[in-house]
Amino acid sequence: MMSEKKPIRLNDLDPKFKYEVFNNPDGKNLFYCFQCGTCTATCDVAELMDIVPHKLIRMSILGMRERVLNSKAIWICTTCFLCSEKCPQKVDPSQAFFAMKNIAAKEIGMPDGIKAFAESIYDIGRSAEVGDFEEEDREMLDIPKVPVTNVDGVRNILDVTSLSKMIKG
Amino acid sequence: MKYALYLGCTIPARFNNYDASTRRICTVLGIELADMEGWSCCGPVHVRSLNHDAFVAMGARNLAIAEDMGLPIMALCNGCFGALKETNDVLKEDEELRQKVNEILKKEDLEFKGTTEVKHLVQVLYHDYGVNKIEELIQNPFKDLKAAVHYGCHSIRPSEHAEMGDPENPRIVDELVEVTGAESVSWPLKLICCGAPVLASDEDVAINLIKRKLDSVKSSGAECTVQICPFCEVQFETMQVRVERDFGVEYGLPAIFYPQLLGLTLGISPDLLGFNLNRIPADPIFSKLTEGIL
Repeated sequence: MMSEKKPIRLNDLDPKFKYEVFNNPDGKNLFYCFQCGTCTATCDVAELMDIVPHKLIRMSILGMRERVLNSKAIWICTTCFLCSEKCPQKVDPSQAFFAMKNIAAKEIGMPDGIKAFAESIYDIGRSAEVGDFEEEDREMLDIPKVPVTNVDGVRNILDVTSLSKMIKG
Repeated sequence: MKYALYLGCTIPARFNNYDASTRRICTVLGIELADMEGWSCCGPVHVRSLNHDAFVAMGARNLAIAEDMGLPIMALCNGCFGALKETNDVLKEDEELRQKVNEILKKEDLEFKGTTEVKHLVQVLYHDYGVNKIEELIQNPFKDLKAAVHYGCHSIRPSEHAEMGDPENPRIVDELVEVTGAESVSWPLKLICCGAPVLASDEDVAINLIKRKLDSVKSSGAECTVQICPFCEVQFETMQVRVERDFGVEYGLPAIFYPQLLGLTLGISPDLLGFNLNRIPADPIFSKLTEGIL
């Protein structure tokens, strides 16, 4: 990436950003990173990322807020947890990316597919609807009807945690 | 042996063959299953990406329902298993987070107490039931069937929560496949992600990943894949057809759920195991049963 070769200007850095990531339980090990690059070496999608995993961690610590939160890479992470498994410092990079995505989703937005997923959870308490065809399949297979979902219970969770606001605006 | 069956969202919406075959083999084995009334989405990685508190609370909600039933959870989907297992482990240790979550659940009169366990179907079969006992019930084993086992990431990683054995070389599902008489072939990309979790955020990446996986399976000489997750099945079955079309390649690899594979050798008919819902016909593997379809 050409842009990565530009000098990093101190004035452009947000020294508080690292604490935003750190204060999310999924970012709690951020500061242990010593830039060995094992996460990037083990990542199956690193070659498809605009910023590779170990750089995302370093850039977060440095405070390169905009670049990190606008990166495609955080949403390309497959959450396969290979990097978390291999990280010698237990940084759990893919978990740290969850923390970064939490901030990005709130401030910048989320991919359409994930928004649709979350909207479905708000509407029916599940990520996918069981249609008439599927109900017929279940009858044909002689298996019980899908147990009822308590939508209000789920909606309460999304409301209290402000996730509703994020997806409904 | 009795479990609260956590179906998850994907199975009833897309893969009722996984549900049916699980219930059928459990009947034959004598494992009792109870459906979870009032259940909801497990709080999967997509929710964790958006809001950590919601992720934990959604898992806790389902765990609390199982606690009220007085039963351990049996999950069929790796995504549900991973989310519920990790949340259960974390909440049992973290009192502060537990209080925060219980404050949210109070409105429904639910409370996470830390009294249930979360297991994947294959862990129930392997650890709680036992391969030897399964072997005694097999009537019609496979002969000369090469199968490629796909674990799926969230059944093996993070290993401290998944507890599926050595994350570099898990053996549970391979042994469960081998007890049916099939050979579990080794294939290079076996433990790598199928790409399903990024279907919602970047379809091109997801397709890239499943193509690599399918190429790897094909090169191993396997005649089918064996799946333990409906989300992976989307990639291995539904998206296989798409990859064949987009790239002008041909795989023709049936993607079979483990209980379907086991069910055939227990003498259960393909119809009852939901094989008519498999989008890639599994007929070629039926002929590998020692006595054909019983």
